[in-house]
Amino acid sequence: MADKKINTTEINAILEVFAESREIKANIIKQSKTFKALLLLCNAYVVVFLVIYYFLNSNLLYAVDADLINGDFLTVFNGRANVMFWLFLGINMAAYFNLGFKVMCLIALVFMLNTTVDNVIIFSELISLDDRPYLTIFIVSRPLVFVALAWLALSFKDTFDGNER
Amino acid sequence: MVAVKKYQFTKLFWGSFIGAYGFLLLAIFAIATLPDNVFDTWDDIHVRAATKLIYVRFSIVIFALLGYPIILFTSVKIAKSVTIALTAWAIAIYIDDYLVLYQIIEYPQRGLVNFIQAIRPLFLACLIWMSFELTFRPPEVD
Repeated sequence: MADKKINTTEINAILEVFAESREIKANIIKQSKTFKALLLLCNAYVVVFLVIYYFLNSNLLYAVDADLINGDFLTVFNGRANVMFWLFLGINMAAYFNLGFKVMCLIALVFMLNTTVDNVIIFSELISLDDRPYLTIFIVSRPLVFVALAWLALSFKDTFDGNER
Repeated sequence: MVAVKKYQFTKLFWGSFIGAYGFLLLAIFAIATLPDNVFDTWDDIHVRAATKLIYVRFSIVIFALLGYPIILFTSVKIAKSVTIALTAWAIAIYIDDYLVLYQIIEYPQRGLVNFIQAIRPLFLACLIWMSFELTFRPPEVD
């Protein structure tokens, strides 16, 4: 009687035939509504942060405290705005191309935690939140963004069955 | 130990591991033996800000130094995430120091501290290599 079992070479040949089809399907993985909402929320947070920075930097927004414009704080704000921009560009590209999204979220989360700790250590004695109403909203809402970023990474589906590749 | 044996990491990985540990131990030694007169300089506020930051960072580093080998020899999958997170953190503080906080902090002017600052990119390279190897090296099939 003939052996009906297929060997590894034949399995590989079959997989190769359907490789293109699997690749196309991988690009159309439907993400959950929660994921989309969280991605929008995080992007909105960063965009508003950048807009306020550019407005303050260009003197288009009234700063309650003049030191905000002249002091070291603006240097820090400038650096953070640049890093945030590139980081979220990376996150959006990773989500679009379905490549390394969870790693990008982890990097963003670590970066934001580090900046928060740095800010608390360096500026806690120098800054009153009342003097900087535009920034206070970001400082106060930051824990929410941490949760949103972690949730974003966990709710991301990079395969059809939801398992990590 | 079994988890690590399954992956058969290269000598470069273990070299990076030893390099990263060596760097951190050297940095801890530099902080622990910081002379008291370092705060008497003209730039007292900036040095103080840097020192405050360093103490907080190194309390995290000590936890990482003690916990990392346990994680690596127990689960390579968790070690991968931890290594990526620690690498991201090391790069974040490097970028922060040179791009964001360069006007606010100043490291004490001391031979050992200058040497540590100079070899900092090598430490980052070690961590990046470890992250890549943990991510892309598949486990050996029995």
